[in-house]
Amino acid sequence: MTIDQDKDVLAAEYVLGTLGPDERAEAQALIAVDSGFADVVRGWERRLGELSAMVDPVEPPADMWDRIKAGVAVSERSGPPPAPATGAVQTAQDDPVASEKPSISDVAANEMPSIFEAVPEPATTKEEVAEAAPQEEAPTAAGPAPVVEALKPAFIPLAVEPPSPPVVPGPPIAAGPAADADIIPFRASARRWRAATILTGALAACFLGLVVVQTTKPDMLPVALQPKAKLVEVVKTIEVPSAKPAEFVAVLQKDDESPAFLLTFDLDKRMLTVRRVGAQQQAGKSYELWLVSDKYPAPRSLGVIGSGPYTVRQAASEYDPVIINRATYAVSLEPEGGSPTGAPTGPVLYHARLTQTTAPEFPARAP
Amino acid sequence: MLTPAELVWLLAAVSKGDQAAFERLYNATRAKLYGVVLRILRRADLADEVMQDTYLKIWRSAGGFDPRLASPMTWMVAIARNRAIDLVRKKAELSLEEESAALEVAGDNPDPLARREITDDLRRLLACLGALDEERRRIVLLAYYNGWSREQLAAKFDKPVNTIKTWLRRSLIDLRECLGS
Repeated sequence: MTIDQDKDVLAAEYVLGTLGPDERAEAQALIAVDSGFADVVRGWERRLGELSAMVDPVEPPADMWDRIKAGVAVSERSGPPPAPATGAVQTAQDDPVASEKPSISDVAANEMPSIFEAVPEPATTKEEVAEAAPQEEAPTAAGPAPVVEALKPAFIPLAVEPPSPPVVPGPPIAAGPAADADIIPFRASARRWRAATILTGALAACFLGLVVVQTTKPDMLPVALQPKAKLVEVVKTIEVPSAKPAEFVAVLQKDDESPAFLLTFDLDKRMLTVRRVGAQQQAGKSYELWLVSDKYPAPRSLGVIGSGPYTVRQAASEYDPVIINRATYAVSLEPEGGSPTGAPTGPVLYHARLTQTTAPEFPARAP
Repeated sequence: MLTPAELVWLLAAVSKGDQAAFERLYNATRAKLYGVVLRILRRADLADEVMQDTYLKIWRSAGGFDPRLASPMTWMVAIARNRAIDLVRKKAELSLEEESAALEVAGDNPDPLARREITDDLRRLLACLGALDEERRRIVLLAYYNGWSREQLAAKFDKPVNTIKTWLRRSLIDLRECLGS
């Protein structure tokens, strides 16, 4: 009963909005994995949502609809069309809680047109607009930085195509006809030059492509374009600017009732936070976190989870966001101080994948 | 303002990809949703961002709306509020520094409604809120309307955060009992 009440209050405070960022992320993760909790949240959204009836309507800017339309058009191109049934995981971070119950649309479809004819336009007044202006006129410069959206499609192929053979080598080739004896070393030299330049060009192209794609839409990075392991070393030194921080969570748990660890990734800062929720410290043992990806032959250790409530690491810095996104995270029970072999030796107690908690990257505003 | 039934039809059409219905839905709900998010964010640029996000989400997940479980407005408002609160919590410094201004602007009770807009559910909720102690009622309303965190509420009421936490918990449990399930 008390557990139910705790959950009920957590759901209510989530809906009310009073939870701190960590608890909020926890609640969002719970919504994703626990349909019972999701139902409770939905109930509170309905109960408290009635209060919105008393909020003054305020006219949004006139160009808002164009921006929304543009956003929809972009999402139609890059994502699936709206589907009547939305999957639990896909929608879990979005609220209100998605319903998997049969939707109204099937029933409604037939009779719709006649009803739409009669729909009146809402009245809008200038006074409302004037009142709407917030106290502090916000400078638009404070808005989100424009994303280099237009560049995106152009740069992706750049990373695919091998750079064209360099023109650079200069003297050897430009020398024209020469004695055979000279030509051979020149050719060898040219080959070396060429190889070096191709490599450099390839690296540069990869970088450019990676940076642009990572900045705009990491998910779009096709598997073939993911950086090879040795490139990752270099890539990590580049500050990748991002318009919006992306945060991902995973709930590591055995069953719906008992989350053990809450894993949060801040992809912007490449920061990994493990919050101990239910897992008990065991004497002489340590919990170790692993990243399991099909990009690697074996699980990679993300380090031992400390005994305190929070463990914060930069450990994620050496991994590509795409890999971080798609990996499975596992916790194994190891001897104190971590696995002696570099691979999990103890039982894998928990595993989970990441769920995005922030809104997905929204396309730049329409020009 | 459209009736809830009309909004349900519009959402159903939107879930089929009907863009004209989406525009009607937008026109019918934009001012209410903008009012809700602007009140929480108090910055037009942030409110604009949340509005775009919100309608994109509505477009994508209209099929997940179930009229047996929510009213169209509470469903859409929840999407908008969640986005706004996610954003405002990320910009905690902003909301704190503007707190004094917010105190002036924010009454606990937004405008009285035209009679016809008071639904039975709202009437019941207001009755239950009315049964709470005044301070506990006010923290719930300030949190709902202004998106205030426990810390902001603590500053406003000059109480420790833990006290606010207890008040919130007690208020929400009381509300739940009063409203039934």
